[in-house]
Amino acid sequence: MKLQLLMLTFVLSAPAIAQTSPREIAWKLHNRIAGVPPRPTMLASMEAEVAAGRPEVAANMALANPNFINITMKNWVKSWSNREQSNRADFNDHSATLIGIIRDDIPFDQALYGDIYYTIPTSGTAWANNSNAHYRAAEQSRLNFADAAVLVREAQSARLLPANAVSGVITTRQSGEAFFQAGTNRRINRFTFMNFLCNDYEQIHDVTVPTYHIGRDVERTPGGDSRTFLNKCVGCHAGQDGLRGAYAYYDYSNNMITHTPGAVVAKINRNNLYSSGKITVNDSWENLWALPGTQNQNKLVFKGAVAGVGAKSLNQMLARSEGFSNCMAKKVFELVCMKEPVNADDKAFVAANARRFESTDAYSMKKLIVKTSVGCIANE
Amino acid sequence: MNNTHYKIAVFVLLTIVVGTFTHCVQNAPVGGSSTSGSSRSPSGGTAQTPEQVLNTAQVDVGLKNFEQINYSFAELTGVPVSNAQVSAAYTAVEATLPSENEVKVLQSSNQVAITRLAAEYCNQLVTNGTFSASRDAIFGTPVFTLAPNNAMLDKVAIVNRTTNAFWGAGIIPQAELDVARLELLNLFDDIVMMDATPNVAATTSKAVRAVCTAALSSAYVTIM
Repeated sequence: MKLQLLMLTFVLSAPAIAQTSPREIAWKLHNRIAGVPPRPTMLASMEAEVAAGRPEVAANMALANPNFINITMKNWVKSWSNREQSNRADFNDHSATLIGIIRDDIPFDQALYGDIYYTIPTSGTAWANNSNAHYRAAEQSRLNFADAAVLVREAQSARLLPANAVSGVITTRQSGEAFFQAGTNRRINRFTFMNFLCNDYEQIHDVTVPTYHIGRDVERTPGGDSRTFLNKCVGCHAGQDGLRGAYAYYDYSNNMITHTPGAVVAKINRNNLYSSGKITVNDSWENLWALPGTQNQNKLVFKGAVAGVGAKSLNQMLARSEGFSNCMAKKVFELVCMKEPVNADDKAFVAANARRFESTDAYSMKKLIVKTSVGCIANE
Repeated sequence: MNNTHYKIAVFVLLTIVVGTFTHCVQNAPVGGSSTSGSSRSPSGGTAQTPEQVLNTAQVDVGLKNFEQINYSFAELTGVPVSNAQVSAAYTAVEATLPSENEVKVLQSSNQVAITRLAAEYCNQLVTNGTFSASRDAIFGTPVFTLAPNNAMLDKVAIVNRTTNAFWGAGIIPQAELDVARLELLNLFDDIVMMDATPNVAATTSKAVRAVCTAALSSAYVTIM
């Protein structure tokens, strides 16, 4: 502990470098984007670009390093694919699809609703809809996922579910294992909010939302006290149960994600603690957190239709909210700037990046990473 | 590398990490001035412990995670991550290497794991003929055929070439670099002096491996 404190004390008390040299900027850009130091020739090329006032060109050179995809992006998105939020999890179809989308610069909002999927023909282990061995083997073989011939784009509807049931990484097999397994199909929405809108339910707790979507498996008088329901349970369940219907036909069984159109999975309506509670009868959903003037509409700014049918329309709504763009901009800031945006300048920088990400940059994750890293490294 | 050399390498690299790393941190710790290891809260109330000061301070540097460290070592030494001995060493320490990029959670156990991995990369680099091209490019020639007392052996050049190769030439302020290089030179001399047969070429190899390990596992490589 003393060693740690001593080390950090030196780090924290060290004098700021008055003027960061182009060479040091190039060094940092490469280390943070690719996860490894640049080779001397690359460093010289990047330094020249920075010195010439073109730091974005230098950042793009770092992006071209295979380790940007194989290490930085892979470790970044892995923690979004499991309940433990760990980057030490096995590689899987959720993570493979996300890094594929980033590598191919597909608009990143489609990660939540597009009919996109990635497989690895040279994995050495055949792809299967009930196993993750295909992806695990590819990672253990240290295949180069930055190569489009290795990590290959496909349609998810050709592998897993019918096209009308596909919703980006949300309906991958790994998502099924992590977020649809057992439970009552509430977990998938919670982790979507955590991973892609950067808000857990406690952070969007709102007891003013109407309660008519709350399922009958939610106790109305927990501990014999209805105030607990009204002041606590409602804050999360009123909103989340309105969204849950989108997943009425999804489940995870026999190690596969399943979709049974027209047949609501039993686990959603099984528990009956309050018979007047909502019974889910189809896959319609309504976002009550998007009611005009409510705290969460002001915070996450949902746009377009805030009610619909099925997972794809729900996740399209989420992906097009300002909350999604804000979250991606914040995550990228933390990834390449190595800190949280806590002061006013950093918050304004992140907000500006988010607005550009969702508009002129058309949800390009690569552009978001380049502009964020240049902003906090080259312009510091 | 035997245990004595390993311990010396660990000690020296930690000294280097603590004593020379000065990558910038722009924001001062929250909570006002600090005296005698504690500081006052903004309200003038309870004194903050050093741990609390560190927890609330904002840093803008990150720590490489387990995979970033492994691939950084491979990139710098030219020894691939697939090398059998390196791969075995990585498997042995992987769980102890840092998981996240949060520098504040760095533990001494992380640093020991980093050093163990670096030691194997350096062992392969110096002793495995497959990597002679990388070895010569990093340390120069002739090095490994000369005993430490041979006038032809330029240990200053070895240290300078090692730091340039691993830390990047022209990245670190010169005064800071001079201090680090001096420590590495001392390490080189200590390894030679403590060896039972100090004036044979094999001892040069041991000393170079120690310098290599200390430089490779330092914060200049693992902090970004």
